[in-house]
Amino acid sequence: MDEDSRVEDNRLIDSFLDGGDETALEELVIKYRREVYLVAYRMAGDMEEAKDITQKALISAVAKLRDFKKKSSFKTWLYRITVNAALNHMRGNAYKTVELCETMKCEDEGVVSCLMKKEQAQSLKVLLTALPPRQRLSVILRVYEGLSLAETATVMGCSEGAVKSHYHSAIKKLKTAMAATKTGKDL
Amino acid sequence: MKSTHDEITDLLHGYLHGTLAEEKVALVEAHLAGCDECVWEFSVAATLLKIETPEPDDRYFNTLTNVVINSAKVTVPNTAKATAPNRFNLWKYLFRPIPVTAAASLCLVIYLIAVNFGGFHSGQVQYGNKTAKNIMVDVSVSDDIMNSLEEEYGDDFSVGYDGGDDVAVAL
Repeated sequence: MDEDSRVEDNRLIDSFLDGGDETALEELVIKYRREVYLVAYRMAGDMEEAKDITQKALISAVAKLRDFKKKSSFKTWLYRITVNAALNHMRGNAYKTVELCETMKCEDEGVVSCLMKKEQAQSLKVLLTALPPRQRLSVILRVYEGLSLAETATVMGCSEGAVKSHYHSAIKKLKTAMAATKTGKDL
Repeated sequence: MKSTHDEITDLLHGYLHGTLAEEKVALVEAHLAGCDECVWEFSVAATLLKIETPEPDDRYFNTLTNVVINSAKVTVPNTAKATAPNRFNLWKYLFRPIPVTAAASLCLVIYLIAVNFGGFHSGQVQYGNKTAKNIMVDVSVSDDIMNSLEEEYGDDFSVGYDGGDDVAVAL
């Protein structure tokens, strides 16, 4: 499935670059625009910021499309551009504190349980946003985007060891926050 | 053991989204039964995944797509050439029809030369065993002319007259 997707992406890129086929580019943008937005949102924690980052990342990716050597998948390459765009954007904005407007899915749980989990998730989310950028990024790419250790290392431009280190530091902090919330409730 | 832990972590996303094959699920669950660290990690990840992310509407995404495609016309040079909107092209409108026009003009010139200098009206006329070329004579038809022709050529000529000023004499 991933391999098929990769082949299809490369076909669309060739079609656009060699044949000037705009519909191929459109297909590619439609395929990844939401995923780019989600990474941007999770990095920035704000919808408007995420919209700006998404646009910058996609425009930048298209402008650099001829530099894409197809050594990695297009998705990994695009994520790397998105992450760089997000980091640059956040650096430029001197890291604004943002209000997170998120809701939580409560499908088949009771109201109390749902509220507890919502609070837990909210505290986790706040903590995630407060993590150092690279730690946050490792969690976003591993947990939300489902990238492997190797892919995450490619996107972050560092070694797998560094990814593990960032990721485990982040999980440890989040785990502590979750445990604290649970303890608070038990008391 | 360390590598198994990393492998299991790589399967985390698929496990939480229910996209793993059965044997992989069994592998993950067997590992989770004996690894508190992974249980916590999975628990944290599962909680994070339950948070919904607000998304803009389709209008934003459609506009975004158009903006990106328009930017490509400027930032990807060769593609810009291939996909540029129709601009006035002197070659297209002025010079491209020249071969066709030239061919048509040449045909017209050949036709005019043939008509005016090549005896296009005349043809081969069979008279007995002789083949004679038509002679176009621009004269006023009169008996004097007929008489003089008879005197000169005897019976070996014929005269064609279509009622106009031309008389065709075939030898």
